Amino acid sequence: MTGLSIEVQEKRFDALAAPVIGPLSLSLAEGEFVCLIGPSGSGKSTLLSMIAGLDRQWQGRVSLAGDAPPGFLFQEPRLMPWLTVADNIELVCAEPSRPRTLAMLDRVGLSDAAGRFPSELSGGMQRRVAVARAFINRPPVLLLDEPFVSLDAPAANQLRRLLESLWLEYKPTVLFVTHDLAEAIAMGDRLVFLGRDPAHIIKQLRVDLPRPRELTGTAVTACLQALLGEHPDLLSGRL
Amino acid sequence: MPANNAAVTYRKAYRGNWLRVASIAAFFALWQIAATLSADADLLPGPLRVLNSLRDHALHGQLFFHLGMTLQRVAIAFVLAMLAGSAIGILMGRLRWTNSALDGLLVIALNVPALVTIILCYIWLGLNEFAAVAAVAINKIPTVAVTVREGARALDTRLLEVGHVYQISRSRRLRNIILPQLYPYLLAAARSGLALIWKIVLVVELLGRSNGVGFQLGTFFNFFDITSILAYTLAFVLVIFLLEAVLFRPLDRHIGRWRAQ
Repeated sequence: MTGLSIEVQEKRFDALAAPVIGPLSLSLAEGEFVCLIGPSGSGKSTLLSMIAGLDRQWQGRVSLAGDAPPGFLFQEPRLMPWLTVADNIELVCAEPSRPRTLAMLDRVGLSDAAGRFPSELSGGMQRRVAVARAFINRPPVLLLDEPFVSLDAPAANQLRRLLESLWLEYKPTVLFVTHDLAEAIAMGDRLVFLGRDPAHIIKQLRVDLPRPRELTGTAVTACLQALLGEHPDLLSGRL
Repeated sequence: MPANNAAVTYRKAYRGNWLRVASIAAFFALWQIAATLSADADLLPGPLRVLNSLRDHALHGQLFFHLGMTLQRVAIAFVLAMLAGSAIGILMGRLRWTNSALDGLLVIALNVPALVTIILCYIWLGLNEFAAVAAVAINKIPTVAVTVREGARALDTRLLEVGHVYQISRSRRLRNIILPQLYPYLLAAARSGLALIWKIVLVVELLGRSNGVGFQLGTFFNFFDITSILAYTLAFVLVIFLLEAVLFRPLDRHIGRWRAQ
């Protein structure tokens, strides 16, 4: 079964400008965790906006399994500052239920925070709320746009563990955008590398390492070094 | 540390209140001195005489009836102007073509003198209650629209995107994502709006109504009864203070309660 598929013929920001995303097609199996890696400015966030329906000005088509809104983790937590933590989570629920919200908060380790406002929480805790919001409706598809970039290493690691355990529990199809190769190897079932001008897929790679994978562990590091040894310019978008 | 902060906040609030009372007391003292020095007590009656007159009008006169009529007109015109002005402001702030279409008209509407609107409303709609309230509301709508437009332009796209991605319903998006960002602008429009409406309502009543504070002031003017004019003014000021204390300030606090202390 396909969890998510997108076929882009072309995406331009301006009719006269050069295309930012060229012919590109990507398909994710149901429950698959795919990491999309590309240099900054390569159009990976744009691609995510197109899949999520935020950007509709392009030629091609996209289909999400389950016909429900995807869960989305932005680069910033993007919580409503005037809503409490629980209200922020319930904002995305068509039929909010307080027990379900509290159970989800408990699951992400924020059992005491339900009645607090986002400004009273640390950056890491705000991300946890955003993670809870992304999972509360058990979406069939989850889209992540470099959600852990501005966190310190321990906090980012904790959140990666949390994300992985929630993914294993609910098994949504995940498309995770990142420019951090070690993070991608530690998280993904499959890596998809993008080249630029316009964005296109230059390489795909299955990662069959056993989970849980340690970000700085030997398995991840060995895989990373082998990959960069073979393609030194991979992260700049060239093979 | 939090307890210490609370103490500082409390002390600051206390000093603020003290200054507020002191400035008003100083004003009344100056008024009394000026009244004592002036030769004609009818031309500049002192605060005590005005307070006495206020009591007489309240107990034996028709102060409450006229004040009530005026307040009723203020309330209706205020609600109409806030609703229409906010709707126009949000539209103009969010849809570029409505802004292009209405911007010129808005500039005209902002600059037509209140008196012209009032006279035209009375001539075209008749000397009735509807024309009176309409004249006040029309005067106020453009300033509300301009203020709310600023707010609508400043809406945070990143938060609006959350609403789109999660396919939150239109009404919940309005209530939980859009309006909270507009509250400061709506409150500013309401405050300045009320101040403007007070002033215009009195002119409307003076020109074309047979009750209300404006009508009464006109009558006192004909009899050169300055004490009564000041007594009515005082009653008016008290109502405004009351509204600020029981309505706007608690509302301000309620809306801003999520901001970190």
